[in-house]
Amino acid sequence: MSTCSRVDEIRDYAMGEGPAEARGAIENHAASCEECAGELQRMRLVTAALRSMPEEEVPQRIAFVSDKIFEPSPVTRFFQGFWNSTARLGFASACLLTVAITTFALRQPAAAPVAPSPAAANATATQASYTPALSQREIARQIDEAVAKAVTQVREQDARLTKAALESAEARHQKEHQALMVAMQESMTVLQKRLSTYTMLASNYQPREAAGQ
Amino acid sequence: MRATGWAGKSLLLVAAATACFASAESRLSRASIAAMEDAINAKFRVNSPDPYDLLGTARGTYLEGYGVVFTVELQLVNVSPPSPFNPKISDAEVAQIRDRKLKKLPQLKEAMRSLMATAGSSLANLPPEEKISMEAILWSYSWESTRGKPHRVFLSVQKQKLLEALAAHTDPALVIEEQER
Repeated sequence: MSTCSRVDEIRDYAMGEGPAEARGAIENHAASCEECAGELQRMRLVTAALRSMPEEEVPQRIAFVSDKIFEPSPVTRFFQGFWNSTARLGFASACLLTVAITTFALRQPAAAPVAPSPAAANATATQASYTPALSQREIARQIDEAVAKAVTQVREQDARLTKAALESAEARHQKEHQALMVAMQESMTVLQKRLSTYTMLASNYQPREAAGQ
Repeated sequence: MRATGWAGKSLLLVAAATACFASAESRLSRASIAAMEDAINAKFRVNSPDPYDLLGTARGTYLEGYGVVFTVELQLVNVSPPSPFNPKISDAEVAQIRDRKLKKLPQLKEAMRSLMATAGSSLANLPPEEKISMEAILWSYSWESTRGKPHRVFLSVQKQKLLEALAAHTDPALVIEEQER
């Protein structure tokens, strides 16, 4: 709460308002009054801060939600109207259901005859327009052919793999067999050498009695 | 007179031939070499926990002007080779056999040096400037690891040097030349 009565004059002075001839007197008063000097200092800080802020263009017009620019497009309005109307939704659902039932009924093949009599079978055979059964037979035949082809391919692949595995095993076995044969041959050589050695040593051996005689 | 001349000439011819054969006869007798061969065979046939496998008996040869050479073929350790009942020798077994043979090699050399010392003292007719040589041919199977393992060990020394070393009670290994191939 300010106690000096000239605070308002100080504020006017700081904002550059008030009569020009009174400015000298206000400056003198501010030099002698501590409260007014403080107020003048604060006002100067505020004005300096205000001057440092960038100047902004004042918007020329404010848009309202009711403006035309915010209005939804005709398509959006149509869908919103359709979605918000229970009657329209119900009608559209009924239409879709009708179309689905009709399509299903038209695409369903005719049921096969149950235990037809020979006469009926002949009659059926002569009917060239019995397309669904023929197509089923054709489909079954194509499936059989495809399965047979796939089985043949798998068997051929199995045969190839088995042949490769057998060849590999055969080669490995051959290698092991060869190594074993070499080892056996070496063993025989060693045995032969040992036999020769023992024969030689035995031929040179003289019993003590015989040597003494 | 004429017959006496012929007889004298014949006698002279026979005496000359005898002198020739006598000079051509080896200085080293076959008996002394055979005795040394027996000593070598006995050395390598000794019954020990890890015996040598003697595959070829010792053979000695005297080469006039060079000296005496003994050869022997053996396997450093007794190895069980692959068989149809055990066709595959594992890598660990191969490494173990190699280690055993490498450990046995210094013992073989020591035995050979000992035999050479025996030969130096027993082969009295061998001239001192000639050599005593001994070669051990080491058998290895083809599946064995031969890394760092010699196939032959050849030791050689001049008889004079060997006798001097023995007389001075110094280690014969200092004068015996050693080669591994």
